[in-house]
Amino acid sequence: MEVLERIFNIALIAATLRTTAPILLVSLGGTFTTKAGIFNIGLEGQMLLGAFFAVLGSIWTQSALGGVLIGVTASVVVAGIFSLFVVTLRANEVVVGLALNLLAGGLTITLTKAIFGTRGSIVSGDIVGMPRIELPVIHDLGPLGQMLSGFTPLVYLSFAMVFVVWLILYRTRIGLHIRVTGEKPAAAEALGISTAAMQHIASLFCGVLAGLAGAHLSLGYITMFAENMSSGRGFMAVAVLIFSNGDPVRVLFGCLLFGFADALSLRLQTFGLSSYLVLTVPYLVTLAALFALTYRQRPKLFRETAETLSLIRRRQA
Amino acid sequence: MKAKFRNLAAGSALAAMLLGAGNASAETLKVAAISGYFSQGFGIAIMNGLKKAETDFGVELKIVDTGNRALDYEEQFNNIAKGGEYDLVFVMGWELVDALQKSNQAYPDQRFIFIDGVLDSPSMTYVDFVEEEGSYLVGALTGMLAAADAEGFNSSDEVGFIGGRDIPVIRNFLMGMEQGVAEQAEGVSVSSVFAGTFDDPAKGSELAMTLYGQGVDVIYQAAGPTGEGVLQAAKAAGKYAVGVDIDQCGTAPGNILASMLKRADVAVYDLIKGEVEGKPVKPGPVSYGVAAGGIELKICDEVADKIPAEVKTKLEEVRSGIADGKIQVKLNQ
Repeated sequence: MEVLERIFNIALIAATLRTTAPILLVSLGGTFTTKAGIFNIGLEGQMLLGAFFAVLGSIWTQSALGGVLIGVTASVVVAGIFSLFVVTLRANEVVVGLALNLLAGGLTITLTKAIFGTRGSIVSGDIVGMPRIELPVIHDLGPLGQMLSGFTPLVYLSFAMVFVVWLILYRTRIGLHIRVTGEKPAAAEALGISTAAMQHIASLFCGVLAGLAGAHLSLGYITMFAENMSSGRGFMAVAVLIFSNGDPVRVLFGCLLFGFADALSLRLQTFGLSSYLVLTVPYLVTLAALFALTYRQRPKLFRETAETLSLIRRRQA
Repeated sequence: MKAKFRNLAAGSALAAMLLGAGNASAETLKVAAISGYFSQGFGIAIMNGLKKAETDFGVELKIVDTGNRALDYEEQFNNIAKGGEYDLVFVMGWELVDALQKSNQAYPDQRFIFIDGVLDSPSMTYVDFVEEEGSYLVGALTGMLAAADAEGFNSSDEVGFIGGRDIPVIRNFLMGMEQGVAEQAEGVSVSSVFAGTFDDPAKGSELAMTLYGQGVDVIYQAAGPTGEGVLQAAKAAGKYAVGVDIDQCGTAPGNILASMLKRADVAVYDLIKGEVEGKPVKPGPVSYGVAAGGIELKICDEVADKIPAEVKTKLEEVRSGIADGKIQVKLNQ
């Protein structure tokens, strides 16, 4: 009983929200490209660059907001390069995405060395992090309320964005056009929608959210930059996106599940289970759940994945 | 032709060595150092040691910053080694190991000194810091504070440890700490976890939050950048953490209890001093532990007055016990 209390306590909720937020933000970014019919494997790199430039911007402007804006700008520029190659120049999206991931990894190391003269990480008192926000009413609602309060702003924003992204995709003209572009490019062209423009727009939206995810990692979650600090979160987002087919609500579910399993696994370790086994738990749980959830749609999913990987030629008018 | 050339080079290097050994006082000792880290943490310590040796013994220094160009690491080593010009070449950084070993094979007479680790090649010298001794001190300090229920350390009878990955060298830190706690603090235990990665500070922070949430008041981290996240979590949670390798007290002043220092400056200076005074550096590992001054537990100034006097006295006894061999820190027990 005491053991269970040590694992399933109220702090687990806060830990789940914290671990979910960065993956949720970057996954929501990916919903746009997924819906627009682009298989975007470059999320990891966009997030990493966002994290790096957020730290840089925070030092330059001496404000967390300035840092976030510069981080997002960097990520959007990369997203623009991505769609320039993939949409305009028709390059293979997996190859371009991977190349940009590698570029992000190397570029951040090189720039760290060039600007700060160090390797490994940037830790400095000059980096202005985001403040923790106590929600006025909720904070007074006892222990549970306190657990739901006191996060950095982008944690709240990440959950609010689920609704915003849903709204954009399903209740606006541009969202409709993005979805049509992904589902039936021929029909979109017939209606006079420029599929290329829609894919560019989707990629830029994606860049904004991936940049926010990166900035959250380096200015919100903690206040520092470390080489490769996105640590596979962008790739996890790609997995969530494949299985959720870019649906924002399913994305939320997948990310929450991952965040919960991650937070839980950290607790399991204190009981002497091997770290190697325990650390695989969140990935296994998330994949198993998403697989089960989308079991019936598999044939369609496989076809679409094959198409986006260009294994089958996409029919375009 | 090539083999002959190499013999010639080897011969001249040997001659230079014999000459150098013969009249060490007359010839200036030439020392090179190769690393990509001279402007941070551990690298700064190495530089300090080299600079001190330069002032005290008039050695000639050559500093090579490898930068980020992985492709020509080996060339950089060979450039240093091929002239046989340098008596000692200090090397730091695990990414250089492959290139270093190749260059060591090509120039077997060049004396390379690898800092902070032991490799396979028998012809190199290794500076091996006895991290388990320092970790024993960390265990003793944190354990005694938890056992004495000192202010800020009275939530539970557990102290925390966060490692990067579950690999032998990180296990050394944990085993040292566990032994220190077991022998110096009755009724206290170590709660240990591993992040599985050295470069995810967010995960380090989350792990630390978990341990703090379970009533742990102080966490010792050996996890590189992941560990930086632990230090930041200590600040956010208003608890304590212990730094590692270099002085990390300034990262979160007031929330860092102490730092377990590997004194690379002491080791580098000591080796050069030996060379100058006629005790040449020999191949094989050279251990720098508490006794040699290579390992030290620095209590952070900001929290020094919160530590009860009897704990400080006891800690000093433990330190001198390790230094004179009364306390043996063992691995794999």
